[in-house]
Amino acid sequence: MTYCVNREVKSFDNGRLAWEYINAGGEVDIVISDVDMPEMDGFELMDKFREKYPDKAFIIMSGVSDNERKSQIAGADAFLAKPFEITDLFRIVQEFVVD
Amino acid sequence: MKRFGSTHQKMHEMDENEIFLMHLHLLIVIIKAALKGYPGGEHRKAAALNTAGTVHKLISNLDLSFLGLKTSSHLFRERVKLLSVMAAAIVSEDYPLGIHRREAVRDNIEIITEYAFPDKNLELFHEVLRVA
Repeated sequence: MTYCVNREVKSFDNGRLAWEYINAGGEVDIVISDVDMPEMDGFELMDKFREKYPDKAFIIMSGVSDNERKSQIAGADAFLAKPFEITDLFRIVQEFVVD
Repeated sequence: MKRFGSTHQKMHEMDENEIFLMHLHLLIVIIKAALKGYPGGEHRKAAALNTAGTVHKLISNLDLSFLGLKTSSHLFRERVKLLSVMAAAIVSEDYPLGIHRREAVRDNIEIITEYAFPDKNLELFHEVLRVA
């Protein structure tokens, strides 16, 4: 992802750690989050993120097809279906960063 | 909501083979971009070196039977290892890259692509790569 976006990419082992970074004022332009994460799942992280940054992009990623509809209802900007390819990451960067 | 990735019917968690192919694809994009002179930059250079190391590590222990290779898996494995070394050398800019080395890199990419991605067009995202 770092190569695709050519910016610093922060990665976290669970949603709580990601939220702690964001909530502490960590610089964020775009979030790509898996749904299934320990301690805080992707949907909960998105809810919290939306409250703080309503205008920034949040992308949900999952290998479970039911999560696509849930993501749409929850208001995700995009859904990244697993398995994906490196071209999908470039497309996301093009859509949400370059354009 | 925009949608990216596999089709609804093919969705599943990614296995180690798919993760390896994604890294290999990225490594090929990285080398092609470097040969075309796209800007590197600090983050992209670090990511490229990391990808080269990851591919080298993954290929060392991967069972390649999923590729259904029409060549020796040992030969393919060595080609991929060589590609990762080539990538590290190109990206680091510590070594001279003459006509013959460029040609050797392109040949290696062509053969690896033929075996690992026979049905894919490994396109470069020019608009993204131009962003330094």
